[in-house]
Amino acid sequence: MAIGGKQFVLDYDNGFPCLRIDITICSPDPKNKEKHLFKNVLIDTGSDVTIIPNHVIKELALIYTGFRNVENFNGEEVRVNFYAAKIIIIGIVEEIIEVGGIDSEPLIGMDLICNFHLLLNAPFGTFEIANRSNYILPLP
Amino acid sequence: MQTIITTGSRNTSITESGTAANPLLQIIPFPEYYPLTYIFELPKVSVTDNEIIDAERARYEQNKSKYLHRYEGKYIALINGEVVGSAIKFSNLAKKIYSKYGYRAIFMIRVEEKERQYKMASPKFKAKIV
Repeated sequence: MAIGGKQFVLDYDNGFPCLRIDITICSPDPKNKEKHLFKNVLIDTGSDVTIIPNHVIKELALIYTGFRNVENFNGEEVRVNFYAAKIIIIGIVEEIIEVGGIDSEPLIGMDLICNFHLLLNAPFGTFEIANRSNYILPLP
Repeated sequence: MQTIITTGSRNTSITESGTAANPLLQIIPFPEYYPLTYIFELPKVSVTDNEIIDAERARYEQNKSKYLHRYEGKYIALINGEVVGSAIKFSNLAKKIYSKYGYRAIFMIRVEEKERQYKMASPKFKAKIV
């Protein structure tokens, strides 16, 4: 891999390619073994925060960490509740993050992505994500 | 035996006459009691996570200048207004705090002069908020 990460295939289902990956969300509480797998979650660079639907937050009994006012694409400010959750992207990351609860499709926001190297190989139909901890300088 | 009830600015104590140093009973505000339930395994009281977080946020706002001076740019965890941990990354702080205090509502925030304005420019974000 060009940057020492994990390679994914671009999603062309909606015409133009987009970046989608599978993520698993679970409680940071080791006693809680519930997990929720989200397939084909959009990596949304237009979103500052990572969000998942509220029913999953209830299902996993995630703990409330606070609220933030988030400005949506209409310029309206809405209150979003945030919860602590463990996110697992196999081969890339397993850590506790804050996720917002919104009844929409799940999105991976810049709060998570800004920790990684992201290489888009659009002409080849692929992209690559590398966690900084396993970053390898590309050889000439 | 005479029982004296003393009401201070914050706490109320009930003592026997002449034994002010050894109160029979001390009434303390709930936000001070709640963290003790985890330290001393006292009976848990039903309280919503929102109430805990909101109370801590209020304390944070009151003492923000103090936190800014020492922790600007870092995430801190507050219990009863006391900083119980700090880290550059939320994930590192959360891991440390939850393993020490258990998985429960603990207020964690990034200390910064002006709070960030979060945006979701994506039309994927349909504003159906609960």
